[in-house]
Amino acid sequence: MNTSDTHALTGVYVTDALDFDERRASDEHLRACPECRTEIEGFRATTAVLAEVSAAEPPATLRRAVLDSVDRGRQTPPIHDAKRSRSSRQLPTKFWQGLAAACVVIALAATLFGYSQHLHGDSVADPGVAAVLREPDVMATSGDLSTGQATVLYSARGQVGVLLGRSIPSAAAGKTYQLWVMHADPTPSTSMGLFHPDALGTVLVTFSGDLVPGDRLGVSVEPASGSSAPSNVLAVLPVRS
Amino acid sequence: MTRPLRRQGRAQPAHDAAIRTLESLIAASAHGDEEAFGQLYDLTAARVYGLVLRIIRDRGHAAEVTQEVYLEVWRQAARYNPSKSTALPWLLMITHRRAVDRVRTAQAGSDRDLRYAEKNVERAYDNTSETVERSLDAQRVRQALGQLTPVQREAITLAYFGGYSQTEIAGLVKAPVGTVKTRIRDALIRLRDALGVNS
Repeated sequence: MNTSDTHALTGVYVTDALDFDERRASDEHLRACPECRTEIEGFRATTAVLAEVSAAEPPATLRRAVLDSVDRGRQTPPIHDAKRSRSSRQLPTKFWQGLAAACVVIALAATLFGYSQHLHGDSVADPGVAAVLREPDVMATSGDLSTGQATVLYSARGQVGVLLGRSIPSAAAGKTYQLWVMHADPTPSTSMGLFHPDALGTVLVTFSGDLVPGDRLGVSVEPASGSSAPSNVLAVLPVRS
Repeated sequence: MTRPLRRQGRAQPAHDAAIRTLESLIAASAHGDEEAFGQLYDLTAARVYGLVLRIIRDRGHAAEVTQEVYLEVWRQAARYNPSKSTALPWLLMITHRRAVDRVRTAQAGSDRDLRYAEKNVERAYDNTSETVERSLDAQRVRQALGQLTPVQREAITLAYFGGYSQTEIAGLVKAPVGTVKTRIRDALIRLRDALGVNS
């Protein structure tokens, strides 16, 4: 990228005016260019002031809806600096893009959960799932989990994912399922929380995190309070190619 | 009613021992403090929702995207780094990207034509717009927008408030993409200087 291109890049970057592929290329450049990053920070602060002219009163019901949804939403743990530098904005080597992929993913979700509404329909059953499906780079992987099947949808761009399962038996008494992001050695696995299938064996767990190529999603069976590292691993699904 | 954040901050009741900055509210939210998160919402929702609405132009979808934005903020709160960015730019960065993603994926393209685009450009610095609070900050922004050249104003407005990509803008204004890029950057430099934003 030559200098004039580089300088011009900062404005379209901050205003999200780049197409997705261009954005990926820019991320790469910005990692190596402190001048651009400084300019971008200033532009972000500028656009934050600009947004004052579009301020509008949200519907009164929205506050309740937001607080209800965070009440159910899991939070992402802070990441260690070492991991941040390793993983920051690493680019996936392969994308499921375009209509075909979107159709596959939507059909999959529809099969599993009877989502009848279109992706952009007016109502969305689960905001977490909807958010994942809406990402243009969402990838899907399926595999067996115990006696049932599990599918993982993950978007590297949105750093959000969802584990869907069906016909998953309940964990044995005093046990729980635990979801993990399993990193390449020597980084220890990160817990993404505990989960239990519902009475019909359905599982729906949303998670968020900056997964890098090589990271996999694991499901283990643990004592009821969960563990700090996976012990009895039932399934491992590749998430990022 | 939307008021500038600083004034809302001062308006906190006196018994509220410490006036909490947006940054500290995000830090508290990262530890699962829903009350702090509620305050963060109260102080920022008008800007978040308003920006989404401006880009998406549908109240129902704007509410939905706003909800997604706050859910993402809640989830990512622990990763917010106040030494890298103040809170509002961080929050509005998430907001803008989500709104743009929605409008591009949804391809509300049918009515995203030049006529609408032009209307949007006018609205950005139109004092009579009914949804705009006439705060001092908003007036300052309109003045700053007024100091741009018409092509700069058009480019920054289409990109930031219209959610158009550089390729779409190039088509709308019949200029090469490289020119559009330069106009957007020049506009932001002038706005940054006119608004006295410290980077």
